[in-house]
Formats: sequence, structure tokens, C-alpha cells
Amino acid sequence: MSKRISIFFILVSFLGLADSLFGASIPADTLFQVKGFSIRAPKPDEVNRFIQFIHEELATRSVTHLQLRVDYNFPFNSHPELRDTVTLSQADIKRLVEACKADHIDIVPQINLLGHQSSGARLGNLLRNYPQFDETPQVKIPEVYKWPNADGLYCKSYCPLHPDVHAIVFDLVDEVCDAFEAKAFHAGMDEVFYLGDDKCPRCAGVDKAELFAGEINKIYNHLKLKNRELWIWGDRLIDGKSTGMGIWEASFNYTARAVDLIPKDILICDWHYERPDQTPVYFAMKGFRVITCPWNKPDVVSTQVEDMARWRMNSTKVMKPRYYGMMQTAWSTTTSFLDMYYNIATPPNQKGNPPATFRALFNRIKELETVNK
Amino acid sequence: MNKSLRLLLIITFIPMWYSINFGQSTINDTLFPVKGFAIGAPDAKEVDRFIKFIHDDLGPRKVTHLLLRVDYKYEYTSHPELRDSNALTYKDAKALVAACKAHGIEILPQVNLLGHQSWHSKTTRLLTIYPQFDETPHVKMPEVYKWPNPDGLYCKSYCPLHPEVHAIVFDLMDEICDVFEAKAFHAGMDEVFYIGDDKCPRCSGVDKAELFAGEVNTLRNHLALKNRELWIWGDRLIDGKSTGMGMWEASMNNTARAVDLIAKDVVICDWHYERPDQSPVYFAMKGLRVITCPWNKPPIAIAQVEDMARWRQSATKAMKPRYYGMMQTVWSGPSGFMDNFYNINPVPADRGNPAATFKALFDRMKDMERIR
Repeated sequence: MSKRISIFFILVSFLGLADSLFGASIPADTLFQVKGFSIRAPKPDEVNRFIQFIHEELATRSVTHLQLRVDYNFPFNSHPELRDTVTLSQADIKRLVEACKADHIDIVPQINLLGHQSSGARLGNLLRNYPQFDETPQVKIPEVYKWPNADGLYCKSYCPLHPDVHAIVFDLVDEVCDAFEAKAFHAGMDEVFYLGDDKCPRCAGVDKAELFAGEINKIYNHLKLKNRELWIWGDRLIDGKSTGMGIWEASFNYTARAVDLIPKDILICDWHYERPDQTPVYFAMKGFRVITCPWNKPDVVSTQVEDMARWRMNSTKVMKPRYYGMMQTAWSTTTSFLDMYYNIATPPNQKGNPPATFRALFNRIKELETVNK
Repeated sequence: MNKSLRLLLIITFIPMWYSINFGQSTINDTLFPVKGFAIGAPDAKEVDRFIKFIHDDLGPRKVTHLLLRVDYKYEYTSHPELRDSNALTYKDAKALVAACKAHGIEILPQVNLLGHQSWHSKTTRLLTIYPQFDETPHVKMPEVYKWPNPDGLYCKSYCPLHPEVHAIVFDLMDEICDVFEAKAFHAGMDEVFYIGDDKCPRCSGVDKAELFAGEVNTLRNHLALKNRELWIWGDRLIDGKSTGMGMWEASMNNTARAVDLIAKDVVICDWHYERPDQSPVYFAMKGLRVITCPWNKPPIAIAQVEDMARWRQSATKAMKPRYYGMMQTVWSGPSGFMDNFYNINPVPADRGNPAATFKALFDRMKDMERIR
């Protein structure tokens, strides 16, 4: 074999490989409707640096959606008692909105509803001010938090059947959506372990899938009144036992059947970090649009984006558009992420590398879009 | 470039190519537990030729399972009245078993149950002899069959709630499993359009998913008494509306929820011919083993086998083994297939080609296994 032939052979094999991965061609030069980035909303002292990051790193990668986990980092007028000690100002929010507008990025604000009403040994603002909403008042927040613990306390939940909870929650949702000029709201709803507690006078005995779906539908209907979409994390809709996905990225607490009890135009953010799971197929077959959400493993993310692109190619006409996109998640403060991103801090090894994953994801998307042009 | 450098390049690139395609290494050198082949049972006069095909072409390709659609084409002794005219003899069946045994191939006999109890203008044996089992006796068989038709008649079904139907059906299952020494039985159950008919005095008003699941579980339980597995086609368990897969390869008649009502040890044969659909993921997530079944498009079969191998690699430990394998389907008897396969009467180039698909599928599996 001559040199020229060997090189030719190698080239052909590789080109053939790319072709076999993605079939003939993807017509659009944009791979997905959503190319998102998810992070905790910055504190006021990080707004400038974060805006710079938006312009220099998100816009240049054609990010379409910025999911900001706002929670109580917001100057609520309707409920000042629920503000964090230090919150973004209206002016900060306006600047974030303008920065994103300039770069054609939609902000999707998140207030984590239902679950995540405490973190470690700290009760969240809602339950601190309104302890009557606590689903499990008998579980005391420990002085020093450890997992696992006898109470199975990961995070507190509010009681979805408390007659007063939604009046307050919806005030917060409306205010945050208005301020961020949001077309969609992310309600979190991940890792809800406390639900339908046996000691809750309202929820005890109620089917947990129905409870979970009921809360989703309530939030969905409220948003619908203002033509806003609901996004949620997908874990409670996956059966953790039958899939072997366990209690975190899937449900061990009987909520999975809720997948058949909620409107089909809710957007599912399906997060898996350890393996490139095929769960988006499940959601798409059920009629939902689904976004795959990686975190910290660059090798996993490449497979996930290739899978989503392949599924968009290979499925029925009805299902193709449901493989809606990818969203990089950063599960730290803005400060910590940006420090890692700009090499001011080193990512802790055991937790993988979210900035490297972010780069790998958008590089791979760009490569695929270039091939398809 | 000298020889050793070239060798180095090849050694470097092969694992790279492999890791891009299929992730990390795997433990087994066999890609799937099932590398199957499904075809109509041969006519008695074609048995010898088909046995030669088993020796020459299934054995060397390391086919593990041969699904033979026998239906009423066997000289049943329990119910001689149900024999087709050109039925296989006991001796024919044993000759097929012996040929397969020589290559470690398991035979799965299929008698299509519930649906497929007529074809075009004729009822098949069960409803011909026992018309009282007909789910829709008011639908008369037409002299000339046309699709579509006002009755929505594709195939007749038996009534799964008729109190006498299972005594007979179980006899057939037992006899056919015994003669083929089967560890698993395929009950068909594809394309069941007539189910829970409004005029059926037993079924009308019963939830169709529960009716379908009830029949699957009844058959499964009977087989389990002799440690035999039930395999079925998967189409009635997929929602044809929400998936856009339509009424054939998925269900538009409200049976799809049966997926949550059947025993998890039923093996699902998921057939899709036009696209490499991702529906095996759905079955695997539901806890069911699933076999992807192509038919007549080589590029589709290749994409399907690559998907299945990739999913077996990347899924959770619990789900990996549920991507159970591939089975080439041939929707004719062996005669026409072998004529095409051996180029005696090849199908025109502009038409789908099951023989070419069979070759492409098994070539691809062999390539992938060789890389391991």
C-alpha cells in the first residue's frame, strides 16, 4: 500500500464514520431549537462579570436560552419578606435582560417549587416565613446536616394541597417572569423526596403521581393565563427502579406515572451526568419536547449531543421536533463557575469539570452544524 | 511509510474508530443474546431445501434463534381439525429441530394468537372450525377483499374472553412447543385491530389495554407452567398517535397502556422498517427485553443494529441486558425468500429486499463482533 493510498483510506474511513453517525444530512443549519445554559443567578457583585460572560462566551456560541436559577435572590415587591438578605436589584435584572436581548438569548427564570425548600441545615425563605406550608413539620432541620440521615431529609417540600400556598407562590412566579420578560418559567421540581407524607393531614393517602402531576398542572395553568411555558426537570417522571437510574436522576417515590397525567406542552429538562442515557426517547414518545442536560463530563456530553442529533434525524415526522435541544447545567454559584471557567480556580477532580463540559458541548454542536451546512 | 509504521497506524485507529462508535470496551464477544431470523414455516415439500439453507446460511452466520411462523401448518394431533392442508409432519418438524440443534439454533414456533385469524377473504383454521370464537361475527368475510373497507377488516380476531377459546389455544401451544422442543413461544399478537368490539357480549365496554394485556398475561402464565417464555410483536404496546407511528407499527386502538399491565419477562419484538426508530428504549425503560426487527431496507437495519449496540453500552447496568438483540424478519415463506437469496428470482432493484437486508444485518454484526 503506497503512502497516498493509506492516507486516502484513513480519510475515507473517517468521513464515512461521520456520515454513518448522522445519516445523510440535517437540513437546517441550526441543530436544535434550544442551545441552553443553566446557572444560579448571580449576586449583585457578580453581575458585571456575568454580563461580560454572556457577551463573550454565550453569545459567541449562539446560546438561545439562559436558565437562571433565581429562587429568592430577587427584590420581591409582592412579598418582601421572602427576599434573600442580598438580592439582585431591579436595575441589575434590567441589565441582565438587556444583555441577553442584545444577544438574542431568552432568559428562563427558575424558582424551585414544591421541593428544594431547604438546603443542608438551612430552611428556604418560603418555609422560614410560612412554616405552615411545610409538608413534613415533624422533621426538624438538624444543626449539622448529613446525608444519609434517619429522616431521609434531602430537602424540605411545601405541601401542594395547602390552601394558601399557591396565592404566594404565584405572586413570586408572576413577578419574576415579568421582570425577566420571560416567555417560559422553570419550576425546578427535581428531587422531590417529601411528597404525600403519611403525617400530612391533606396529602396522606393521596396517590403520589397524582399529587405531583396536580402541582405541575396547577403551575402550568397559571402560566398559561399569560401565555408562558412551563419547564421542569424530568427526574420525577422516570421510574428509578425499572430503569436502574436510582433515587436522584429518577424516581423511587411513586411519582413516575405522572408522565401520563400532565399536559404535553410542558418542556422536560432531562438531566443525566454519568451516562448518555436514552431517556429523551421516552419523553419524546410520550409526546413531550425534551432537552438533554449534561453537567460535568465532557465525554458524556459529546455522546448526548450526537444522540439527540441522530434521533432528530431518525424518528417519525411527529417526533423529530420533540428532540428540542441541549442545555449545559452549572450546579454552583456564578462566582465559582466563572472562576473555574477563567482558570482562577481549579475544578475539584472528583466533581468533573463543568466549564470543560460546556466547551465540549458547544464545540460539538458547532462541528455538527458546520457539517450540516 | 514503512510497514511497521502502517501497522502502528492501523492499531491506533481501529480502537479509536470503535470507541467513537460504541464507547468503551465490552465484556462479551457476542454482540447480543439474540441474533434471530423470522420466516414462515416451509411447506412440507420445501423442508429439505430449507434445512440446507439452515446449514449453509443460518449456522455460519451464528444465528441463535429461528422464529418459524407455523400457525396451523402442522399436523396437530390434539386438534386435527385445525390442520392446514399443506401441514408439516412430526417428522418434518423433528428434521428442522435436528438441523438447528447442529448449529445451536433455538426454534421459536409462532402461532399468531388473538389477531390475524383471517387473511383477506378467508378466515384461518381456528375461526373456520370454531366460528363462535369470532370477536366480530357480524363482519362477514368479503368475496373479494380490499383495503381499506367499510368494516375496517384487516384480520379477524378471536374473542379473548370466550370461555372455551383457551382450552384449544393452549393445546396448540403445548403441542407445537413440544415438537419443536421450544424454550420460548411467539404468540404474534401484532396488528390486532378488532378487540373489545362494541357488539361483543363479553368484551364490549372493557378497557382495550386491559383486554390486550389480559390475553398476553393468560398466554404468558400458561407458558410459564412449563418454564417457557412468551415473545410477542410490540406494535400494540406503542401509542401510534403520540409517536406518529400510525396504526400498523403502533396502536391507534387504545391498547398501548397494556405496556404497564403485562409481565416484565415477556420479550418484545419491536418491528420498524421505514426508519431506525428509538422505540426499543421505551420498552427497555419499562423493564422489558426488546429485540429490534428489520425487514427489507439494509441501511435501516444497519442503523438499528448500531443503535442497539450503542444503547447496550451506554445504558444503566439494569437496562443494558434488555437490549436483547436483533431479528431479521421475512414476511413470506422460505421458498420466495430463498429464490431471492440465491439469485434464482431476485427482487427488482427498486424494491425493498429482505435477503439483502439479512446479509447486511449479519455482516454488520460480524464486523462489530470482530472489532471486539
